[in-house]
Amino acid sequence: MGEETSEALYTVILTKIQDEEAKKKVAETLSRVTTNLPADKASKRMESLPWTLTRRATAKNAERLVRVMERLGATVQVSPSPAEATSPESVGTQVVLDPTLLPEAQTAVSDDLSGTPGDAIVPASASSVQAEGQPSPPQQSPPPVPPELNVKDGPEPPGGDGFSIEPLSFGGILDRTFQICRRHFWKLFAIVVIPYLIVAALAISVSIVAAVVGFTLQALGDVSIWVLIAAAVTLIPSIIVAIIAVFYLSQGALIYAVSVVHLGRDIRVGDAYRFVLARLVKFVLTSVLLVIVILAAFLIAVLFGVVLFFISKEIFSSGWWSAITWLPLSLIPFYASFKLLLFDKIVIIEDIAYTNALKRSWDLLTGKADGGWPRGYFLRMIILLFLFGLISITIALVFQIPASIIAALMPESWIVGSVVQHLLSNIGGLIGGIFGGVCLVVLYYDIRSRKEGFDLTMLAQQHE
Amino acid sequence: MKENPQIVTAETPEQVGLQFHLAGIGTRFIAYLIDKLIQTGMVLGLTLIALLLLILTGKLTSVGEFLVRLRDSLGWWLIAPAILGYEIITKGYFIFFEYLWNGSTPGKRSQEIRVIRKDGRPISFVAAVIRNIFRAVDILGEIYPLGLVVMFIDSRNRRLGDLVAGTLVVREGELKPSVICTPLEESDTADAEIRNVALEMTMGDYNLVRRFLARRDSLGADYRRDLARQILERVSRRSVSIGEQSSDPEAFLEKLETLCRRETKEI
Repeated sequence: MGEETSEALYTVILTKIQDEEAKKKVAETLSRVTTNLPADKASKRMESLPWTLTRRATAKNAERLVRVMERLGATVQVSPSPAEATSPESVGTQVVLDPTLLPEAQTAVSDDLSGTPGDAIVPASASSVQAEGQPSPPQQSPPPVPPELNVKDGPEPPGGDGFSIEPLSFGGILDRTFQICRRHFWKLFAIVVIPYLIVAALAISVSIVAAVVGFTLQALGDVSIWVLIAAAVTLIPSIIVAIIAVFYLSQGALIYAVSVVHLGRDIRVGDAYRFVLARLVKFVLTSVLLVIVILAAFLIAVLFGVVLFFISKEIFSSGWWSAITWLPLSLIPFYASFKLLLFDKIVIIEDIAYTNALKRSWDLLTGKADGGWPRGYFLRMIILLFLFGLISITIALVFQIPASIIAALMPESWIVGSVVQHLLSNIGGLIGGIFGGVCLVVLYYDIRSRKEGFDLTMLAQQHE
Repeated sequence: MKENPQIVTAETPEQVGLQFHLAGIGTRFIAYLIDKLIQTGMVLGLTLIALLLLILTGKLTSVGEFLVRLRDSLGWWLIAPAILGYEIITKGYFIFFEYLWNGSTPGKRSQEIRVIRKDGRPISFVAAVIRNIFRAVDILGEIYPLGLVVMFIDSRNRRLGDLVAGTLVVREGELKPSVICTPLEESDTADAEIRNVALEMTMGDYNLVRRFLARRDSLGADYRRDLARQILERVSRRSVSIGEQSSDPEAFLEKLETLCRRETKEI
């Protein structure tokens, strides 16, 4: 048994069958030597040759299969399997014990004959093949099969909408973002639009009340200065704080909602807001801390700039030579702010706040991912943000084009045109914001899956 | 055709069901950007080569004068052939590659996606022409306002060109990480503890072990250790004891994976 693991594996492709009689025989034989392929399905499958029978046959078994097939009147092609096809990763999809679980055509047969792992057939035992083919050296009978192997039992890590939360490719992050937005668009839109509706309702209410009581700006002159000061000190900050809180609530609720749907559960708008309410103070205070850190980074950059100015003045007799360092120095606060950009996800999802949240965001965005370019997590995020800049422009255009047409159609009532234009561009901005928010949550989970095996942890903790 | 959010089953004329993974909007967007970069590079490269040739042959001035005369006689109509030429290059690029490269373009190939007909057959020349002519409707200012809306609404991520030409964009395949395990020795095979755990394992357990082993090198050290222990706890939940093997969960999982793989019935 031990020698099989290091043996080269081969791909066996059925390319041609002599006639109907041969087809029938091949189908019967295949159904006899496999556990997952009834004769009728094999027969049907043979209507569109070539057919990759297996990509992981040992030399001995490939030889047996060729002999059997040729004796029955079929032509097969054998070639060494590429490393990817022979990797045990593909084994999982080829281990098929329950025939009812295999779709009729679990294949995406491409024109270059490379089948998917699922299109392999799995002979029940080597001895069955031997019975049909030439005698071969005696083999140890295989050990018993684990009795409960069942592909129904969680083959994919949990994730929403049939998506797994396994590490995604760069394009996969965008795909997942679009998919979440498409499936939960109205809920996500409702979450982000609520603060705007509240502000609009407040503004309209104040206007109505002012109109009813006959209050105008001119009337402010009649009000006592102390009343105005008291109002300025209490009322205005309260309103600002309330509005900020509502916007933070909305942002947190969006993160939570996306997180929930990404992991495959359903969410209600109210639940998302309720969940975030408990973490609102931490969220706001960590945001304040973030601003302080970015300002500190900015001050450090300025300080370095000043120091370099005087150094270059000493060296080159003119301090302006230090101007060449200004661009890289100005990148410091940007770098810091981008590295800390995942802090909100960390506060809302993991309930880690303040400096710990900032440090964790920094750590998550440090390092490199396996796979194709871009490998660095930080670079991935920057490019994703750039792509979403492009997508946001596209979304903005979607709304601005009809708005411009409406405005052009109503030249006499420019107010209506202007309002429509303003409204539609705001909606476009909101939708762009939703896409950006969803994308960053998906990226956050992707990084966690890659660096921390988050998806595997979920699977390991999953109850049967 | 029937489908779930990601997989579409195409029924061929021979009544064989072929399953394809639909390419997502994001992947298609990246593929388009790559193609656009290549096209821009091509146009700039050709322009530079032409300029270089004109400079080397000393005909730059005479060609410049000819263009000025042309502009004086044609006015702004001179832009029309320029636009036409640009469109021929850009649309022609997609038609050329999609037809000759079996539905792929360099951008699509980099993202491992390709265009097929909705019955699963390779894209035809006519379909390639139709879907790419409709890019003019889908695209405005080199981005996809209408195309994006249509793709977003359509459950199969088709833009207008795809709808008219009867095509789909599908994924070629999946990247599979490799699992590197130490070969199982005969003595390990005989180990009763591993065998007991293996006998009780489900396919879900097996997949979990396999995924962990494939990705363990990219995990942080602490997470890797904890995860190995958690997975071992899960897979051995039905077993009475895993004894001393639990001191090195990862090695135990390796042996378990190798044993399970070996013991399943396959060629």
